[in-house]
Amino acid sequence: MSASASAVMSRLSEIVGDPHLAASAQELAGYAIGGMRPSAAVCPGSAQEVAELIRFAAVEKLGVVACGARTKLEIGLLPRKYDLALDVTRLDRIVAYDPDDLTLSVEPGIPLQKLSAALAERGQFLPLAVPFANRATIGGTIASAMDSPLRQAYGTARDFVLGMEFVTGDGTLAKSGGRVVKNVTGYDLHKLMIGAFGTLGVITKINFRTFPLPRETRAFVANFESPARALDLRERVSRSPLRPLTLEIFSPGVADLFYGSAAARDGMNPLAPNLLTNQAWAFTSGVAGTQEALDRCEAELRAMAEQARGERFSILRGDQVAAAFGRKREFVAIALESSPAATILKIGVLPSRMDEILPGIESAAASENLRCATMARGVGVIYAALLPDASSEEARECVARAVTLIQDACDKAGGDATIPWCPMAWKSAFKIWGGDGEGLSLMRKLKAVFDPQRILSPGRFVGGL
Amino acid sequence: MPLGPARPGTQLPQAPPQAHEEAQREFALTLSGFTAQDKPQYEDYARCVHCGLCLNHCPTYRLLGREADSPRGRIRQMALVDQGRLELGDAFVTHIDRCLDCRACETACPSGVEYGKLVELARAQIEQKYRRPFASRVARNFVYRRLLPYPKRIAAAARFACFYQRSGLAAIARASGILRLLGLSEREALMPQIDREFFFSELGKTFPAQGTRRARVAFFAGCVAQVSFSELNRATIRVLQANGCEVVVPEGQVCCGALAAHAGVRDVARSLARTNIEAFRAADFDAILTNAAGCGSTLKEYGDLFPVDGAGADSSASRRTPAPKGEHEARSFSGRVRDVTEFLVESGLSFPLKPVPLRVTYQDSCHLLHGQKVREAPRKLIRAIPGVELVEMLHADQCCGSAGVYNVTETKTSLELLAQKMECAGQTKAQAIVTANPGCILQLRAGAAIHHTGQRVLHVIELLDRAL
Repeated sequence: MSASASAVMSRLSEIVGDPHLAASAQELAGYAIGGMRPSAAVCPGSAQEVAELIRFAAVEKLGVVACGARTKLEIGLLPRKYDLALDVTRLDRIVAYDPDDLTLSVEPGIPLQKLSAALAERGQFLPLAVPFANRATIGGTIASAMDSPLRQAYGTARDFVLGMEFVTGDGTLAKSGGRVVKNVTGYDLHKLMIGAFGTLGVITKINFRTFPLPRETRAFVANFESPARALDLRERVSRSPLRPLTLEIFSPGVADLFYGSAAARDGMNPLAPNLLTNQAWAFTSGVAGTQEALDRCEAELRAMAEQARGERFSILRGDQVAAAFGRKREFVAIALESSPAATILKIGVLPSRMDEILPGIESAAASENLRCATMARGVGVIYAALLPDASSEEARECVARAVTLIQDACDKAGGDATIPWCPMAWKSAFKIWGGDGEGLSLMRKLKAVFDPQRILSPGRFVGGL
Repeated sequence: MPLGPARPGTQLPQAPPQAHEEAQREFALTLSGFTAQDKPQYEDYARCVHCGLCLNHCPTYRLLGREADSPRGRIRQMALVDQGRLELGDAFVTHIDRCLDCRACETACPSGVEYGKLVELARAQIEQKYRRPFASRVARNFVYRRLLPYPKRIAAAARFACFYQRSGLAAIARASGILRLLGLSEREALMPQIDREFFFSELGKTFPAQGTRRARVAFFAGCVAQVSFSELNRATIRVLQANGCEVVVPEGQVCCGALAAHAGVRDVARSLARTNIEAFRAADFDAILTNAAGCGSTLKEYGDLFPVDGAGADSSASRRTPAPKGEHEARSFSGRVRDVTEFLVESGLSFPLKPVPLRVTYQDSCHLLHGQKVREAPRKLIRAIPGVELVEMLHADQCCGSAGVYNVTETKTSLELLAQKMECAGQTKAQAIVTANPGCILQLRAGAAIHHTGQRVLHVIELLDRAL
């Protein structure tokens, strides 16, 4: 900010009120992205205030980064300019909830935990079992398009966000979609906001369809000597009439993570011993339904696992399901804690071609002598965590070589690999948003329309958007 | 010209509502790729809400992974042809032909779409509007119109096949490798073993009940079953007799028409239905029983062959058969039809069973499970036999690939399904695979031979017969 800094501050204070404006170094440190601090942080109390703030920022050309619980601010590049942190945690109301219609409207700052509790009272839930679930807000979850193990059964947020209200880069308070399950009017502009990392607008309200909570769950674990066999079981399950809630394949390296100290977090129950070992690939799947359905799932999963030549089958019930599910959900968080320079790739590929990538990740890590843990979702999303023991220059070079190998393997398999998490200082050395892809020119045009002044999270997303 | 509001007192000419509906029907017909007779009806196919729950229950979808080869995709294609937006051509015929008609989708469907009925009508349309290749036309004409409806011709063909199998010709053909050369070795494995004594000689006989007579039932003997499953038929009668049933095998009964109906040859199916309704009309049977799930399913649905007002009954067929029989009569006939396993469980087993030490697995016959919704009855009978251990196999409710003549017309797909089936059956380590339909038995026997599993294949009734 220039000489008129005090003028800017007084205008900000005018909009949100003094108690909701932070300018002290100590407070601002909490909003730092990779050590970069904003000049001010504001906590607006309404969508109108957000719009007002953005209008002002557009005039003053202030770089604005919207945030909630700040669990995922490390994703993406450093902002080109970071003048204002727009903290939406005061916008934490459930605006409307109609359990009979399975619809819900919330403000972005509501913590997932609080929201889940409210929905659980009516026997419902949102299938968003995302990492950092004990702290994350719904807004950040949607803006970063975090996926969850439940996408196997329910899809991603794109499948159950019905509408949104958001403020575009020129301060317009806009609405898209509605709050009915079968809304077909207009363009689904709100879907653009999912995974845009706040570069197209600031979300001020999100409408969801909710789902009935599964009553009873069980989980099945089988071990395999190779990823190919575990994937063979995935293929068999996907062609069977079973509809599991979750389906993940874990590399041998995950056993150490899940039985390690990082996983003993947030009061999570300990995992039963010997479910996973660092010698085998593990296929894990959660199922839900009535007793009869669960019995059938259990018998059929076991029979299919036998056909795929699996070994050491386990059935998890009750608390054990929760313990395993919690670790699946928090895979990223656990991996980040277990290394000072954890580098996590998120790979999207056709499920049928995962077998071309999984062995490549292992061999790339092995060739650089890196610890590595991989979680492959049944739908074709792979999280590969490279876990160097130090954050040194040497480690960076090792990781960089491994990443290049993995990204090349992904290219060959027609997939795409981004790097959501790695030490901020390493980011410039990596293609953290993967290949440019053919969508980039369209994305540039969208950015120009939604945020003509380029003030919303400038430079953080792919292609410098 | 836009009409303004009618002035008071002016009477606008009103078309009678019927005429309007007729006009609409006529207009729809000008667009439709279907003929008016035996077409998939809008009311039936529009019940599909495209939810896709059927997809993974469909064997061809699971195998091929293509929407066009799924129930939802096929229904869509029917709708498109009916709306005149898709040609009733090669593509349509390929996908409709590739359907097994196993009806697993009906069990899965939450909207109650009667898919079996739809696909049979789609095939009836193909029969009317599509010109198949010459060889296919000749073969279909021979089998459906010249062979199956006539018991004497079936017997003659069987004697010829019997000569092939027993004279040493078959051994020569197999050894010489000529079958493999012609690509027929697998199909030859599917060929039914012809009996020395045909069942035709039993027609018209009555078999007394053992002990107190508890019921009087009519037995439906089938067509090909009479020359290759005579022993199964006799076993069925023995079991029924032991269970206190007087069994009548009415004379004049013919093929049930299932194969013809499934292939879209509805006129033949209708005429066979009429003959059967006539043959079973006479006596006061408590039930009409069959040991073939495929036949049972068709016999129970005779009503669907005859449109409510009888309008769909084609003139050529009615000329050949006695008096035209309407839908009502067909339904009262169907109401008395039971699968033999269903009947035995309903009436209860009244005879003591000897132990049969055998580890078995049960393969659901599609037309029993999905066509007639009979799942538990055969399992209850198997469990009732002391010494028999029933081990459920994975995907027991999925078609084995037999599906009537499917294993002959779509051999490749059929054999792939069979391979999956044998993997699942082998996994149970059962000594025998038990099922409830002669068609499935043939297919599973071929599977056991091709994959060298050493498993025997039995009908539920044969198992009961051993316990007598």
